[in-house]
Amino acid sequence: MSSFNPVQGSRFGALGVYAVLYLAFIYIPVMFLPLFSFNDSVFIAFPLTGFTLEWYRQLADSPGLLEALVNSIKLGCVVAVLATILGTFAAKAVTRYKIPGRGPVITFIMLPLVIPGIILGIALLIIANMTGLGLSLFTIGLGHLMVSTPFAMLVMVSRLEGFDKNLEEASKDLGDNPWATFWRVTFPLALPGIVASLLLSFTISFDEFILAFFLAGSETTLPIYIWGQLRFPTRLPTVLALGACILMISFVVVTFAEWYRRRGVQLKTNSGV
Amino acid sequence: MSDEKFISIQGVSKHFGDVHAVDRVSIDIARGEFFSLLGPSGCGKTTLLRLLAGFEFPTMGEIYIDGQAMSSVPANHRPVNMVFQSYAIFPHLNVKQNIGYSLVQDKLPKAEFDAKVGEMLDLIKLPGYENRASDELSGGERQRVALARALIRRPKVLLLDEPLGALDKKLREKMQLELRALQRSVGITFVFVTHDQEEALTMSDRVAVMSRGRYLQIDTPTRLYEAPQSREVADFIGTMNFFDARVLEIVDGKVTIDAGPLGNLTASPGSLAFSNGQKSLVAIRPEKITISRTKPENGNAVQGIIDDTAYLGDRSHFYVRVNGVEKSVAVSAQNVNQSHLSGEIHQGQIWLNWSDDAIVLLNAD
Repeated sequence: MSSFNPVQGSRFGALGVYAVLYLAFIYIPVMFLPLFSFNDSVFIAFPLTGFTLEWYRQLADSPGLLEALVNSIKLGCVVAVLATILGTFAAKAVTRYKIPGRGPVITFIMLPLVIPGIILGIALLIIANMTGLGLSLFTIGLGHLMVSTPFAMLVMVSRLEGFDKNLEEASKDLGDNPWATFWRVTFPLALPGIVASLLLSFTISFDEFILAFFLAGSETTLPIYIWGQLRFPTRLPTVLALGACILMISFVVVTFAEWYRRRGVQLKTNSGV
Repeated sequence: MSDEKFISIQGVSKHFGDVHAVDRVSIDIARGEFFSLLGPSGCGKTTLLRLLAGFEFPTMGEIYIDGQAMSSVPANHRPVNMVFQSYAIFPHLNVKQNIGYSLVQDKLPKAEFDAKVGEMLDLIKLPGYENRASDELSGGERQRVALARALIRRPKVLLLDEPLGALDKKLREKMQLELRALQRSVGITFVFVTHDQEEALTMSDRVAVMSRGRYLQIDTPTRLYEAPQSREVADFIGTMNFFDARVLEIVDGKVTIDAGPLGNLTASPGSLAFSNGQKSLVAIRPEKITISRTKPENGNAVQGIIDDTAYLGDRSHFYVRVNGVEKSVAVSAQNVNQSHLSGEIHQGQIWLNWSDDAIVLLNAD
């Protein structure tokens, strides 16, 4: 008789409706990108006029685009590696050692997460000009490193807290110095976190606009290139095609990162005492 | 370097901020001894073990192992190995890689490496387990692998941090005997931490009973049980009945005491010092008291009424109310025959009876 329970039934119904509306709110606007990128018209309006791959063909023919794409990928890779290295060591410090002022240290490392990007952008721009550093991919990279390191650290802290500290002590007890302990125990156990952190940092750098906008010199990143294209109304469908591609790649990368991280957590739980 | 002081802990303290986890402890442990640190959680026993392992360093004092001062020796260079409470089996390595973990630094030929690991697997009675993944092991098997991993380099001292705590009762009792036999066969000094007094008594040559960062008594299991030196030790090891008393006179090394409701008693003072008129404490183990319906002819006796009974199969516990004694007197009796089935002993007045030998005389705190 439980299936006739009116309270439970209506509760689930309301929750279900809410969930559907919520998901629609998030994903329907995003779905317009791939939808109109295949539409045979330069105007973004219903009704759809026909199917075409023209915009994707134009995409492949844009030399500026290719250059921006390569810049973004290079930048993303360098930022991902550096942020993950910094994040890993910071996470090891705060989870494994009794450091004085641990609380404030963590707060200051996490602060870039909550500083508005536009403020950070202006501040970095002023410094870049004051020091005569000049604007280039390098300055964008510094900005990206600032915002992605806290994420890398968060991922690594949760990973390092997830496994028994006695494992590292056991390695030391069995004769390994701290360096050997790191490579034989900490690193292999932290690897899922490291992979997740690399992918996450890469995505953050690849998608980032505001800092890049303030700090870009003559070389641009992909988001900046897209923004520039919006000045030409006829280029809009091409931008949509590009957006659809980025959407797909980001989705795949983040899903993989999350899957890999969870797999690591599961491995750990299975082998727990 | 004498064998009696194979491990010498000399005035060691460890402070964490204001907490004195270990407080001016001095203990000597002999070569080949099975030594236990026993106490409730937070008594400092694990900290003391971690000081021996080199995971912590003393705030004051010095630890010597085989004559060598340890304060400047990091954990990875100490001649000790540890079996962790959580076992700390490396989850990403298989059994062979776990057991042979410390041999990798030696860069042995593969055949020799395999032979050494195989030898350890034979020792812990898990032959053929080389390629098992760590998550395919049961609790008892993990415990054995942790033991083999710690023993493979033949350390001078093996440290064990409550290694049997996670096992169920039957397996724990089996492992206690196996561990004791293993210790005899390898001849390595074991320092064993436990909060289980029965476990400490079963396995150890000597036990240090610890409380609040200090030890209360270091003795053989028999002496700890039969001749505790303080109320705290008597209370922590097994069950003990306490009665307030006062010393009347001391003649020929025998102390006569006024134990109130129990009357005047005579006891041997052991190694403690007493003076006339001093307040003291009479302690008697429950199994050293017998119950009878008629007044016993020999020894000391007092009348009482049974308040409560607990039947434990091999023995029964009786709680007896005695006029003038605040807490019921605990009595433990072996159920040699099936007399308890009749239930006749449960009603009316009964007599408690004990000999002078059963009395442990302690200083009142």
